[in-house]
Parts: sequence; C-alpha cells; structure tokens
Amino acid sequence: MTAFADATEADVRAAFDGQDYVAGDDVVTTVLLALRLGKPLLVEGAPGAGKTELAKTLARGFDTELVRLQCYEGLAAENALYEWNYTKQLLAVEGADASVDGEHSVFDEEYLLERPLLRALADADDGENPPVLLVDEIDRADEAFEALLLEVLSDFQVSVPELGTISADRPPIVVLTSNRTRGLSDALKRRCLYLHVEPPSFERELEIVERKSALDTDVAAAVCGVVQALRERALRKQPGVAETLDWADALAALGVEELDVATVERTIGCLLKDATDVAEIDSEAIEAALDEARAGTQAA
Amino acid sequence: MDDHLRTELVRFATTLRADGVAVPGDGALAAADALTALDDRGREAVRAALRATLCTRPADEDVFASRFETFWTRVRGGDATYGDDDGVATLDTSAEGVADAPGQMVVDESAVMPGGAGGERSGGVGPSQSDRAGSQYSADGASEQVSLDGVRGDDGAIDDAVAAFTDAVASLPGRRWGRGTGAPDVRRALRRGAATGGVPLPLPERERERSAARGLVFVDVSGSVLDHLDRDVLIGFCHALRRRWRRTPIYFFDTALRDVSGAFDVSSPAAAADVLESTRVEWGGGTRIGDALAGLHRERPERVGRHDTVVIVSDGIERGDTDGLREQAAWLSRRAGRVLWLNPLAADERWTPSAPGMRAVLPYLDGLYAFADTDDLTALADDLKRHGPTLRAADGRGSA
Repeated sequence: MTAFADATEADVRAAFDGQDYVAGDDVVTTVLLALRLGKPLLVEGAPGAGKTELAKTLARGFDTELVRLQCYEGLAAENALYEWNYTKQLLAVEGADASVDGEHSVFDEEYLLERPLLRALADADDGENPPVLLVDEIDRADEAFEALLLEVLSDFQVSVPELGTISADRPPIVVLTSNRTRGLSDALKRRCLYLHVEPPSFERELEIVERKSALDTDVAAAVCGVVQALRERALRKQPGVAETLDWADALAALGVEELDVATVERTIGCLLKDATDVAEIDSEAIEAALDEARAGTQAA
Repeated sequence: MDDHLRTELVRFATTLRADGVAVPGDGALAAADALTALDDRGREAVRAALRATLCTRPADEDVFASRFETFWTRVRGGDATYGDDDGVATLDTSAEGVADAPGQMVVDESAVMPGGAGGERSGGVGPSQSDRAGSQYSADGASEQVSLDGVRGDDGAIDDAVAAFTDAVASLPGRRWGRGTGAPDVRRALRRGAATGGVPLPLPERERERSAARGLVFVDVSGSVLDHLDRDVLIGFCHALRRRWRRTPIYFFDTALRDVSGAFDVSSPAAAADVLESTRVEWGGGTRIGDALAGLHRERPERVGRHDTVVIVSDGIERGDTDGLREQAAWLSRRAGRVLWLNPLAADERWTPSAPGMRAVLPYLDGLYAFADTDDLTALADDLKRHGPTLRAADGRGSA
C-alpha cells in the first residue's frame, strides 16, 4: 500500500474508487494536499453530505486504522486525550503490586487509558501509514476543547505530567468535520486545509446511487431527479446524499421498478426527516418533483 | 516557484482580503506550499489548492471564483486586472483562450519561496488598505451620517409586502391561543346553560377577533447590515409599517438606541428620508444589540407589552457582550407577544446562525426570517401566514 507521503493523485482516486466513494477533482486534489503537506483537513458541509465517509474511505482505501473522536457539547480533555485507570491503580496499590511512585509506580502506561487523540499519536508510528484521526462534528464541541485541539494539532504531541511527552514521528492524517452549527475559530481554520462539500450534481449523485444501491438505472435516475427537485424547495432539512442512499435502499428492498406518486408518498420518510417538510410535500408537490425529474433525466 | 507566480499569488491573496474574504494570515504561504506539492498544475487542481488554503468560509467561494479567473489569466501572462472597487474582475477577452487551456501553468519547482510567501507580510503587492472596496464592514466602525440622496422608498411593491406582512402578523394567534382554537368557551356555555334552565345546547366555541398589528420595530443600522439591506427598502419598510401598525415605535440602533418614530410620521418614504437627513441621524457604526435593548429595558420597559410583536431587523453580528444580549433577548421574549428577527444575511442560502450574537438570541425568538429585499418580505409574510412563526431560516436555507 502506498505511503501517504508518496501518494499521487491516481492513488487517492484509486483509493476512493475502490471504496465506491465518488469524489470530484477538487476533493481528490485537496485530500492529496492534506496527505502530502501533513496538514489537517477541515471538511464542512450539510449533514449527510459524506464528510465522515470521506475520512472512513481514506482509512480503508489506504488500509490504515481509523481513530474517531465524536465531538459533543461538554467534551473534555479526559474524554479526548487520556485518563488514569483509577480502579486498577487502587487495586494495585492495595495489593502491594505497585506504589504511587518508585519503580513500580501506578503512573505507568499500564494504568493509562488512551482516548482517541492520544491513541492516534501513540499508534502513528506502528503501521506503514499513520492512522486517520477523524474529529467528527467539531462544531458541537465547546470553544475550550477547540483550543485544546489546536494545541495537539500544532505539535502532534501530548504531555502526560506523570509520564512525559508522547509524540508521533509521523503525525496522523487528521480530518475534522463540521456541520457549521457554529463558526470555528480562525486559529483552527488557519492550521487546516479547507474543503466545503456541496450537495452533488444530478450526474454525480446518480453515479453514487448506482454504485451504492441495487436500483435500476431508470429508477435511480428518477430518485436523483426527485431529490434534486426537492433540494430546490425551502425545506427545513434538505436531503443529503445519505438520505438519497437510504431512500434508494428502501426502494430497492421494496422491489420498486417505477417511481410514482404513491410510492414516493409511502417512502418519503426515508428522505425527509422533518414533520413540517413531510407535511409540505403533498401529492401535488411530489407530482411536480417527478415531472421535474423526468424533464431533468431527458435533458441529461 | 518563480517570481511572477509568487507575486501573483500574493496579489491574489491581498485582493481576496480586500474583498472581505477571510484569508488566513499565512494563507499565501500555505497556498505556495500547496502549489509546490501539486504534480498536476492544471487549472482545476490549482483552483482546488488555492481554495483549500485561501478560503475558510463557504460564503467566500463566489468572490474566490470570480477573482480566480483573473489570477489564472494573469499567471498565464494574460492582461487582466482585478478591477478597482466593483468587486468584479475585469478580464481582457483576448486572454480567455489562454485561460481555458488546462495544464500549461509554468512553475519553477526548483525555486523555493524565500521564507515562504513573505512578500505578503512585508507589505506585498496589490491594492493598499486605503484602496479597498467601499462598503466593507468594520466592527470598530464609528457611526456617521449616511447619505439618503436618491432614496425614494415609495415603490408600491414594498408597501404591498408590508401590507401582507401586517395581515399575517394580525392573523397570528396570541400565545394563549396557541392550542385553544376550537376549544369550548366555558363562560359562554355556562351563561347559555343558565339562560335555558340547563337544556343541553351545542357548546359555543372560543372565537378570536382579528386585531390590528401592533408592536415595536428595532432596526440595526450598523455598517454590516447596510452592506446587505437596500436603504430604499429599509426606509419604505419602516414608513409603511409605521402607517399600518398601531402605536408602533421605530428604533434605530448600532451602538446606541435612537427613537426615530417621528421621522416616519410623514406622507412618504422620501419625506422620511429627508427628515432623517435633516435631523442628522447617524448610521453605520458597529453593533451592540444587547446594549441597545438594555437601554429600552432600563428606560422604557413599559413600551413592550404582551400583545406586541417585536420586529428586529439585524444580522446578529454583536460587538458587545453576548451574555448581556442573551439576557435582553430573554426579557423581550418574556414580555412581548412574539419576537420576529429579520436577518439580511439569511437571504444567502448558505447562511447559518453561527455568529455568537445570533446563537445567543436564537432560543428566545419565535420567528427568524431572511430580509434583504421586497421579495424576502413577501415570502416571509406568506410563510408566516401559512405556518406561523418558524425558525426554519436557522437551518441554513435562507429565505423562508
């Protein structure tokens, strides 16, 4: 398997193709730059646009480990970096197997619980390629955590006071994703390459559906056409690629051979995830979307 | 990397900054590194590399795209300029053919940028700060008197849109009616029952009389709002609202709150513009929404009543303390009938309420809508009438 640093555009494209991940030239180039320059890649876009999948695909495509840190409000350093295994330490001290200091100290790697950031650094030098560290939905985390992340991403090292500094000779490939529920700091953005993932065009979405689902081409085209038409509407939650694939899977499971209003009505819950949107898209709106889809398919 | 490319790269980064694009401080250096790391230096690869290093917000991508055309032409030796202050690059058509030919960019890989793209830090090439395009928002901007020359605001469309908006607001149920429509009117039922000696009768239901719209209007006249909201529309909106709504004061605020209701008690929006000019009302400073609302809370709290619809026209870019803003928004929410926020930036479909000020007030709003022109106001009225107040604009789809 090609090392990240030696990867070419063809390697990145092959990695994506091998995992059936349809990526545009801009995505391939930006990912290639992240690999070659060793800079974190910040991927922003609507939910369901394939941001997380990009990191997973990268790890699978280059046959390396994926270390995932899911962010949430209140995420603290101990959840992201490391914790001491207090129970194990206590038992060791009580059983006189170890002491709080000296040669058999309980402040040893044996008693350390590695959390994702530390694990990504600790494992970085193991395989042919360092792991891919996915920091998912960074916008959900607090600004304090963002500052901590900034420090880790700057030096790719973590200081454990009782143990010393753990660093990686080969930093992990870092992919951060954000749904833009809040703006990220300029300091973090400055350290990253930036990629904004737009909803795909009809042609690209059709390619994705054809690769990922068992639908006939005609039905897949109708599905993509309807999704494209719905994205033109002022919905509260726009369907992303993930929803399109869910819907395509549902239609395939039902053995649908032609998309009509009744079928769309029955299955629209796979596509629209907001009650107001579902209520707004009535049979008339579906008919209009199907008409647009047919017209779009013919034009394509 | 040769001198020509290096110079153009720095010029490109500087121009983007002048256009308001949030280019990181070391963006040109990162861009140079990225170009050096590329094998294929065709147009699309170069565009992707520069976008990844110089762009950090989706909202900047349109400006980036238009400026990139000029950059690409210049790098290829074409004669294109970035333009002066119109924000649109002027291309020499003779260079288009050159710009469209992919894969021909000449970069000297053996040369390395000395100390990175340091030219930018040492002053760089391109327009100076003073040359920058006109109406860029500065959070530290001071208020100044804004010229209203040419403002007529008497476009019938804005009056129609405000009429529709007024109708929609007047037909909204109050908070106590939220779930009560169609419920039995116990008082009337008892009265009728007593009058008939207890004979069962169809239960009378509660009915709601339509009332005129009334409330308060707060208009953020900071520089950032004026960059996105047409003054003609704004003056027409305030004038029509003042006429159509009952006892509705209108406040302008940037860093301070000013009651400008009197300026709109004239026959036409153009006359209102004249009054505003003659009274030397100053506009266009930074924004302290929390302080402005606190001024009202402190001095005239009785002006906000439980039947009032509070309309705030602002982009939510707050310079002051967001905790203070949150407190004032909570107070307004408790005290007023409903709070509707009209945001000029939300007209961009990529907008999300990520500004700290906007995030602080969002939980206290009943409705959030885009408002950059008359069409937005018409759409808002339609949406309000059909669905009641919603925060769907917060989901990133701009117009309601």
